[in-house]
Formats: sequence, structure tokens, C-alpha cells
Amino acid sequence: MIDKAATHLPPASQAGPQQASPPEPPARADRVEWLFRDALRRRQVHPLMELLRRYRGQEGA
Amino acid sequence: MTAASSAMRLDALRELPSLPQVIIDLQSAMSREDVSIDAIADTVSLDQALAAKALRVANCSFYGVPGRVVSIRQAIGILGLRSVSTVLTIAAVSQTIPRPSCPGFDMERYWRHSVAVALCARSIARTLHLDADVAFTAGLLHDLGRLALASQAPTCLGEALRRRDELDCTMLEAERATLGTDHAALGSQVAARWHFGPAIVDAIRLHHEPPAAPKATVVDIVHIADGIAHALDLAGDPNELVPPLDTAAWNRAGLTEGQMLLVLEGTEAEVDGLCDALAV
Repeated sequence: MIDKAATHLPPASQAGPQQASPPEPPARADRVEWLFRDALRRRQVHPLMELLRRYRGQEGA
Repeated sequence: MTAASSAMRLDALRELPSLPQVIIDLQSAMSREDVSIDAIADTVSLDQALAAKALRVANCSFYGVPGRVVSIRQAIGILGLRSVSTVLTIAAVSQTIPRPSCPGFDMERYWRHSVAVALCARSIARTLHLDADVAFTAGLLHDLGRLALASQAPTCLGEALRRRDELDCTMLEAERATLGTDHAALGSQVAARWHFGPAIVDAIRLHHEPPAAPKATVVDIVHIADGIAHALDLAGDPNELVPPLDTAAWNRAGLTEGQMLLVLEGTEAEVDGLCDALAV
């Protein structure tokens, strides 16, 4: 359970590199990494990616 | 496509129709303190198509008074002049731009994305105690240049869309490579010609590259909202791709994870209702 009031996102510049994602679009329910493939290819951390993972995880809980 | 032929085709954007005079008057009136609500209601009511669409939107559940608004004057009384101005602007833009016939451009996806950005921008602006109406309108119009391209220069936009699909790059990169310009620059020119205020023109022009600022701005909000709308995958684009996010803008907004999750939930919950009301 995420504490919505107290949890702060880290500044984007503190995060590290990521792995590349598959080129083919996966099923809609499992698209988070694929949607961020531009940032992953550039080995950049996208501040929204972890947020989306948590959001989709919260939806499925 | 050569730079010269591209420039020639982009000239067609100058032939884009003007917004109805009532919207230009409204934009001007909103910046004055002596604005007459009766005079605005009378003027708007003369444009029957615009008034009908505005009432349809004002009566959607999004504004919280479904089925109760029967006149523009009543809409102003219930919703307030600023919300009615936003409703009228939405109606005017969607009825002014000729329906595009551009291969690869999907009008329904365009509006779903724009509505999602508008809702998200409004929610972030409220959280940050910034002008939610300006953020909403700027979000709704942030990709106006792409709509104008699809309508007035479909070959140009079609070329950029093909490049994006072939290289799987961002649309901004594809536009700059094929057109020598991009939808942000072109959209801000259209918005300025349509007499939108500098806050909205700047948000359209800079929404992919927010400039440094001492605190969060409407440009930052629209930039972040655009990223969120792409990440939520709401438009139904099979080639959806989340564009880069400016970390300085993100850090300036400084929202907690809890606040951001509420923004995401609210955006997803409201987008279908508003798209239905707008018939987009």
C-alpha cells in the first residue's frame, strides 16, 4: 500500500541507467516498459516510468 | 521532401480560418475588469451552432450540473465566465479547423490525447495553486500545430508520421527532420493569430522544451501533463511513445508521489466523459 501523502519521488537526476526494451508492442496491460522505450534506448531514466509501474500495480492490487 | 517544398506547403497554414469573432472578443474581455456578462451572453447566443455545442459541453457530467444548463447566460451564472470561456473555446476550435484527411493522422486519437493533457494539466495546476483554467486551455491546445498541419498541410504531416513509424522516434524529431520545424512552433503561431494570451501561446510553443524558471509555470505543467497523458496510453495509438521529460521542470513542480497518483487517477476517470460531451 503506497502512502500517498508522505512518499516523495526522488529527483530524476538521482536515478541510474536502464535496460533496453523489446521493439514489438506488447499487450496493452503490459506496455509500461515499451511505452518508455525511447528513454530506455537512450539509457536515460524517465521520472514517470517508476510512477506508472506503481500506478498500474496499485490498480491491479 | 526538400526544405523549399516543405516551406511552400507549410504556407497553407496561413490560410487556416480565423476563430469566430465572439471567441476573439471573449479572449479580450477575459483580461478586462469591466466585462459585461449580459453583453457576452447576447453575443454568443447569436452564433447558434457555437452556443448549441457550448451548452452540450456545459451539460456534461464533467461540470457537475448535467441537464440543467439551458442558456449561455445561465451557463455563465452556474459555471462562471472563465469556465464558459473554456467551453466556448473548445467548441470554436473543433468547429473552425476543417476536418483533416491526412494518412496516418487519427482525429479521434488527437482529441483524446488533447483532452487527457487538459484534464491532467488542470489537476496539476490546482494542486500547485496555479491558474487551472489557463492550464486546461493550454493543455487542450498544446498540439494545435499538429491539427493545423493535418488540416492544411497533410502531405507534410504524413511524411513526418511515416518517418516516426519507420524510425520509431518521437514525433518532434520526425517533424524537425522532415519539415525543418515542429508542431510546437507552428501551433504557437496559430494560437497567436487567434488572439490567445501569451501564457497559452508560450505553453504551446515551449511544451516540449520548458525553459529555466524560478518556480513551476504553466509551461512546466503542460510539459508534465503531456508526458503523463502519453504514459497513461489513453489515445489508443498503437505506436504510443512517451517523450523525454525535462527533469528541471519535473523537480520544479515538486509533487509528491501521492499527489501524482491522484492526478493519474483523475485524468483516467474523466477523459471518456469529456470526450463524449465534446463529441470528439
